[in-house]
Amino acid sequence: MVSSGKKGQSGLEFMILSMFLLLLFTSSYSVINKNSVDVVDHKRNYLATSISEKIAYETNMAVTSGSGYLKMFFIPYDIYGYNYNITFSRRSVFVDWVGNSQAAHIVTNNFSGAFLKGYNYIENKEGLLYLNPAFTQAPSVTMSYTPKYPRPEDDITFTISADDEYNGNKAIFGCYISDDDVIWTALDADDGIYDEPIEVASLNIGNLSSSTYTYHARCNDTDGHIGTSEVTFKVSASGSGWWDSDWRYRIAINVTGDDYMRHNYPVKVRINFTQQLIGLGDSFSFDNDSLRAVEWDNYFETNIETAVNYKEITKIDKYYPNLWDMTSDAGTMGIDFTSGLNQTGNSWGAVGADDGWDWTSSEINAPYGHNGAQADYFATFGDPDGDSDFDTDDGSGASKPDLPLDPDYIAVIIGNKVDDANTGEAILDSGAWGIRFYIDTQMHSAIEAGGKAYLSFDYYADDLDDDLEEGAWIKARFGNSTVMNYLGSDLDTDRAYSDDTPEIWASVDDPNNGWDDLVSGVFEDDVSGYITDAGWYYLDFGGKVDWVDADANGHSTTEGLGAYFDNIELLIKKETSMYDNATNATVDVYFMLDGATDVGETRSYHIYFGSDNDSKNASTLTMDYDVEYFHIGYYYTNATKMENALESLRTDRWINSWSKTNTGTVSPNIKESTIDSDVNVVILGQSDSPTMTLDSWVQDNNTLIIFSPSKDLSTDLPISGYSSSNHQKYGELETTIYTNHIEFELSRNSMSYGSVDQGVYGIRIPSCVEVDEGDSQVMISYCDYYGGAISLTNYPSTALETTAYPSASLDILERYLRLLLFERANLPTMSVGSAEEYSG
Amino acid sequence: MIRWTERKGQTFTPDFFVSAIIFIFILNVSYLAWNGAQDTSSDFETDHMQKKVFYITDMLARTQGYPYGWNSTDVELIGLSDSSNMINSSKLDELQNISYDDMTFLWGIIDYEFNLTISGETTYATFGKTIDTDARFITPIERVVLIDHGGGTIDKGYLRYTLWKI
Repeated sequence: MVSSGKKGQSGLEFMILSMFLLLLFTSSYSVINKNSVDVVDHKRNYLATSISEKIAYETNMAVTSGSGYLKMFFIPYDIYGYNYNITFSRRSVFVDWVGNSQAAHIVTNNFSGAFLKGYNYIENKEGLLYLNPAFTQAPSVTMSYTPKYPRPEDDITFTISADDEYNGNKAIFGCYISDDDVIWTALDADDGIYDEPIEVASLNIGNLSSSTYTYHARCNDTDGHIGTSEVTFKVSASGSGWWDSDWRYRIAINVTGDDYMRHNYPVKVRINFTQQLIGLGDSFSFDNDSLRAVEWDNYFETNIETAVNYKEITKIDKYYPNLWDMTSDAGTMGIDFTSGLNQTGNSWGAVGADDGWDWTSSEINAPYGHNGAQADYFATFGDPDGDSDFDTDDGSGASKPDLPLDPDYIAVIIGNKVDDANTGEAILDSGAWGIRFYIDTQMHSAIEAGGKAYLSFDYYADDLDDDLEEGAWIKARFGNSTVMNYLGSDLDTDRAYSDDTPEIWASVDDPNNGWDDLVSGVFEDDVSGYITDAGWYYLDFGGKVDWVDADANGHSTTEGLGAYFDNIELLIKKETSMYDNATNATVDVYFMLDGATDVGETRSYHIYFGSDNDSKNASTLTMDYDVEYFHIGYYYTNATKMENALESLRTDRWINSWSKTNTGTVSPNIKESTIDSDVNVVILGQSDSPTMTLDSWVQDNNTLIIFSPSKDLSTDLPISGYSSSNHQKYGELETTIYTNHIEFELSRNSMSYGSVDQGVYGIRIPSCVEVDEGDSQVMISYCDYYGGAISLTNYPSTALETTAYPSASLDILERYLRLLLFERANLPTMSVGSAEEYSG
Repeated sequence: MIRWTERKGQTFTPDFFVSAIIFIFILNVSYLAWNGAQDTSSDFETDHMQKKVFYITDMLARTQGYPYGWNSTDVELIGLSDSSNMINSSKLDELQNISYDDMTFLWGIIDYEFNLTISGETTYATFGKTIDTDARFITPIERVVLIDHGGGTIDKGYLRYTLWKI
């Protein structure tokens, strides 16, 4: 018990003592802590006040001391761990931090520059205050390394140069290097001691494995100002970021994708290589065979060369011979008859007078043939003035023709005038409009100097009773008083009705089955070869019918051909290169973004080049990069001219390869499975009906082009939504932008094409290009689509030259294809760096 | 007895000594912490006053003030010197026209008292209050200056400025 009582007493006393001590400690701690907090608050207030007064003092001293005053001073970086701001209001400077503020009076807050936390300079220069002028800043630090393109086995030496001579003119105090911007290694000055405003320090770090590295440098002067620099470089087994040391120069090109992905997308950049060479100190001429495009990525182990091509910058001169347009139509280049017909006489023929538009009737001189033995058939000539009624009900009983929607055109109606008694006679009749015009010396010189004369016009052929069993033709001629040349090509050989001269269009169907009741097309061809000198020339076009009137029912007055013509243009165009490899080597350089370029992704390329001073072997541009450029698949038949155009593009390095697959003439139903595996551009003819998942195919490949020549695009496939005329020409792409035609077409055929997405990855509205003459008669609809492109076009053609391949001249077709493939409207952003020279 | 003896003796047992030592230790620590805080606060006040005195006298002795030809009605910065450390006696005369409160306002020392005395062989001018030598914080400064009396008469003198806080 005693023992037990002792233990209890001891525990109680200890507890009382502990509680007392705890109470004492807690109260003391509370008081001391509050006191400490108050002290810290005081410290912050004092410091903030001190900062504001310091700034005020320095400012006021600078003001009152007058011009020439310059002083360095220091203000703390923070207020005991709190960030603060320096603001000015009227004549006070405020130091604000976490809801507190201290102010001091200043006589001006009109500074040039700003206060910095840390070291500041203030200068009074002719009464104006300057804060931290340039010469008071941190030393300039540069960092370099050798060799410039290190291999894993190369020792790498860094050189750090610090220059404070201009900035602060203080001695450099030390320089440091780091590979992580955290741990720094002090370097010895190359001259043994840091005691001058300019110091250099070097360090050999040995060799590094293949990778990309960033090293940092910093140097401080005796004022404590710190200048920094860094270098990023790649160590690679390929030896250098330089693609080929034989190519002396290169220019960095960065291409940044915008808001959608692109796939195998061609880009172009214009570079004046003469200026670049001058900038590099190379006085030799640009070697245009030396161009190479190389993709470079810091993570690539080797350079990736891609196909490259270029096009010289040209100047284009255009001339339009006077085709006697109405003066009120002076604004139009072609003759569109919107204000009528300009005619003062009717001296038809190459030897006629220069008096505007003429016509010839069958009784007088049918231009393309006439059976003089019968006179019941005739040609009626309509002009847009309305003085000729195209409704052949007038005196003939024929039904009103299916006229083009555009009411302004000229017409030739050839048919039976009166009811025929079935005489069994052979009927041959024709009629035409013509114009005499002058090719002056300047125009002729342009052609002699390589220019071209392009003639184009719209034509329409209408079977008046929709059941014309006869042979019918659209004919045109171009020439002079010596010779008139039939335009177009031979379309009727081996047909039921044929003749010996070329034609623009011919009815080739079985005459007993009739032909399309309204055929339209655009003719365009190069007529340069017919212009042999300056002088008078003649152009005519019209229609011709031929049949044997042996039908037991005879022929009625409703039968015949309506031939209509509009938008007649003769353009003489000379393209002069402005390129000179010695004085103006400016070219558009084209290269391909191989594979996918993601949204916002930046891809880095180098354009390598050289001058004639180099000894490299660059005798020609190369095209050995199978995966990068366009491989064309043409899926149609009878494609001689297309084949020639594609082969020309290949020879000129615009495409890698082309192939033709004869799919037949009627609805071949192109499927993905029938497209050759290496083809990334598909060209289809007008009767093709692609049944493929367009979205994924375009995304994985590149471009689908559908030619739909010689079709009335308001009613015929594949493009809907057009006016009845399909007038078109090959001109430049940069014109009005539309999207609705492609959208409409894709929607209309979405069952065949698969899903049609017009959202983020679908039709790219900014990229859409549509070319016409401003008359809403479309030639090309083209839009970026799923990173590639889709194009629908009613390219110039005659209807039946073959089974619908373009009939315009080869150079026009080639140019047209090149535009479709390479002159895209919505190129990604490209930045061009400065040229640099290989330095080993 | 034995128990009683044992109980009385317990007061001086090791337990007691241990607790007493702990108590004294905590008391000392608390005192030191309290006193340290008070000293720190005093140090800041002193340091702050020293800076203020330096700024004020630097402006007085080295600048002509602002505006440059200031008078008692438009003065923003009080400067007494035409060139560095050369006191212009005419500005001393103008300073006489500025009230004590205006001076403390212009110098940003309204929580303090001050005395400014310009003297050489004699006292040329004195401003402010009589120095309170019993003030909690007092910061004097003396700068050697030249005093331009005009007419080519220049004397060596002293600019003494004392700032204190009661």
